[in-house]
Amino acid sequence: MLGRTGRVVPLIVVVLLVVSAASMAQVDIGLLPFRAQLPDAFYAHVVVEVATDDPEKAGLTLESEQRVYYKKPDSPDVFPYYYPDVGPQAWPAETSELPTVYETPPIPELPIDLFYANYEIRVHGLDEAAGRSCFLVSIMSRASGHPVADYCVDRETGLALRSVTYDLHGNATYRRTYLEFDPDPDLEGIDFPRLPFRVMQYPSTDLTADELTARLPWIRLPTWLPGNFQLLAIQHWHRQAPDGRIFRWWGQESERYEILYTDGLDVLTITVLAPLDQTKLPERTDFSAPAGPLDDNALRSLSATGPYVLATRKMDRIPDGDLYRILWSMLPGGPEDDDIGPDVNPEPMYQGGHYDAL
Amino acid sequence: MRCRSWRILLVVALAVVVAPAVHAQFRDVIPEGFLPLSTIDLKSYYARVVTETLSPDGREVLMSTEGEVYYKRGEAADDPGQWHLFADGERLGTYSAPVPAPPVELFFRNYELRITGIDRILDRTCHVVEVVVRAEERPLFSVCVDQETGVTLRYEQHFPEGIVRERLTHFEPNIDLSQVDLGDPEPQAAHTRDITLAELQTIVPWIRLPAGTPEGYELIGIQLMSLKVEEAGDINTAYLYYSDGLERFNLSIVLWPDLVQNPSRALFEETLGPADVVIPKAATLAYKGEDRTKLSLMGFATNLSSTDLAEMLWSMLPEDE
Repeated sequence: MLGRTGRVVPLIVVVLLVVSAASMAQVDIGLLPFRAQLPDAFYAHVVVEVATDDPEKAGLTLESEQRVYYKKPDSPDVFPYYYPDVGPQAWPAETSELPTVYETPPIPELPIDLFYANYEIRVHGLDEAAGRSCFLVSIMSRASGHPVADYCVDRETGLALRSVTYDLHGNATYRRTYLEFDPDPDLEGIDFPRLPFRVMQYPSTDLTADELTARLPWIRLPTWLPGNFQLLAIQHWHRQAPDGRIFRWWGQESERYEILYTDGLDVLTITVLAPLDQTKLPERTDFSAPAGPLDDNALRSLSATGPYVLATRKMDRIPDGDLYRILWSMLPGGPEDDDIGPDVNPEPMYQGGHYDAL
Repeated sequence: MRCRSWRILLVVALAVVVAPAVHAQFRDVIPEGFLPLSTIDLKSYYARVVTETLSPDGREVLMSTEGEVYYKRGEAADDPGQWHLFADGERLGTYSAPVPAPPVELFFRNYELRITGIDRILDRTCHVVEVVVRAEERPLFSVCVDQETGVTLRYEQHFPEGIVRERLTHFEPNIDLSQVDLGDPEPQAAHTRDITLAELQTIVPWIRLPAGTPEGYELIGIQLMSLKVEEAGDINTAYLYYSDGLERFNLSIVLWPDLVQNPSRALFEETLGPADVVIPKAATLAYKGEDRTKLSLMGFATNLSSTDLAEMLWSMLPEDE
């Protein structure tokens, strides 16, 4: 057998050496003809549809429709230029004193190896969107074997001309569709305006887990997480801006901490508010979950008198019950402190305070 | 290393779950690139390539050869450029992308790509891409594609006889090739042009498209090559290229005048390539012409058997009356 292999092998090698260039060519040019070069300008007509929790509104409903001219900024530090094609009244008049808008501190780069541990990308066909040829691309969950997102990626620019994301049950939760996309628009006569506001970030500091514990001795990092999520960052959002402005989080003067977990694609953000005027540290029994129906974008939260707040935002692919379980597990003294087996999945209502929502 | 395009992918994917900023309505239309790969900036490269054959369990290196590659992209936007191969300082040849190229639609009819992981080769980030045979859900081979340039840093395919792996041991993208002697351009011995099936049938009225082409394969092009031969004048050869979007085989016929006049099956003699040659498989039909026996029909493939090729060659001939 080895003798036969020994004869076969050189032939393979010779041929492969000869065809190596061809195989590279296929990969360079034929197999992976991906590009991510965006045009310097474009015109786009985009529709965004989202799912709601309203049982009478099955499927996706229109959230926004935009017609926009875009021009690449002169430097990467400059915000891109946009001109919404909806008439001048839609764009606020420029004033000498632009209002300041604060955006959240940046999320650290997600670990790509974690992404591939939990997902894979499949490029599986061709389609058309906005009259352009695009690759059908899916992000597949390794755990479920189902797509968590589908895209149609423009062959020329790499732009996702159609994006659909799915929830845990495979129902579409979000769809963005480019109805028109012109990478060579006529920009003559378009005077791209400045943004009608000044964008700044909430000042923040990254903390270690120990630093968080020192500041918030009444909580701990979650002892239970769904799937393969890992700690990404802990951010302390400063209460005061450099210009002296005081931020009020949900109406309260509080210290705000953001604990970020990721599975490489989704980011689970847990917000902790610790009011400044409270001296008594809360205990587990002080917390309760909100009663009553939850609307689509409501925070899934636990709150205690003070109010201390532990909250996270609704996630497409994490059930509400699991979100509450994460939050409860951050409050010591619950049944999850006992040695419960992996098959035991106590409902959040059994883990601590009052919980009528489930 | 910051993976900008990768971050872009995630930004796009995460746009719906990250808390929207005030100006999200504008951000929502930022036309960011999607895939974590790009080949846009690659003008040239130099690489050293090691091709190894390993035992089926991957533990033993049975054979190893090394070569060098200089790549230069073409001037025109649609010109993929050329690869100049060297081994032991000797020039092996210059190669271009296969022509005719199979349509991408055909590739996706038979295969799909799965980007399954990430690796580090030569201190560069590459994405592991598997080419999967769609009908069988079977990985055919895998490559690790450099995130910044799109160049394959590693190629690996498993055969029953062993594992063939080709990997770069040195890679320099976008080098200045003006000081590199790539040798003289190889003389064009033949003139080749694309023709249609109707044109071919005008030249060879009896020719038929081969029967028994493998499932998933399509005729992707016909070329006519004219070669000046001193004793015989212009000799034309027609090439029929078939592909399933990735694999290719070709069937060719040398248009000897006496063969075109009299394609009697009795005048052909079949020869199969050696059975133990893994790549390429070959079959030929020699023609006992008026003056001598001449090579006339040939088939070459990487993943078909010689007998399959021979059957297809026979099926191109008319039935004897």
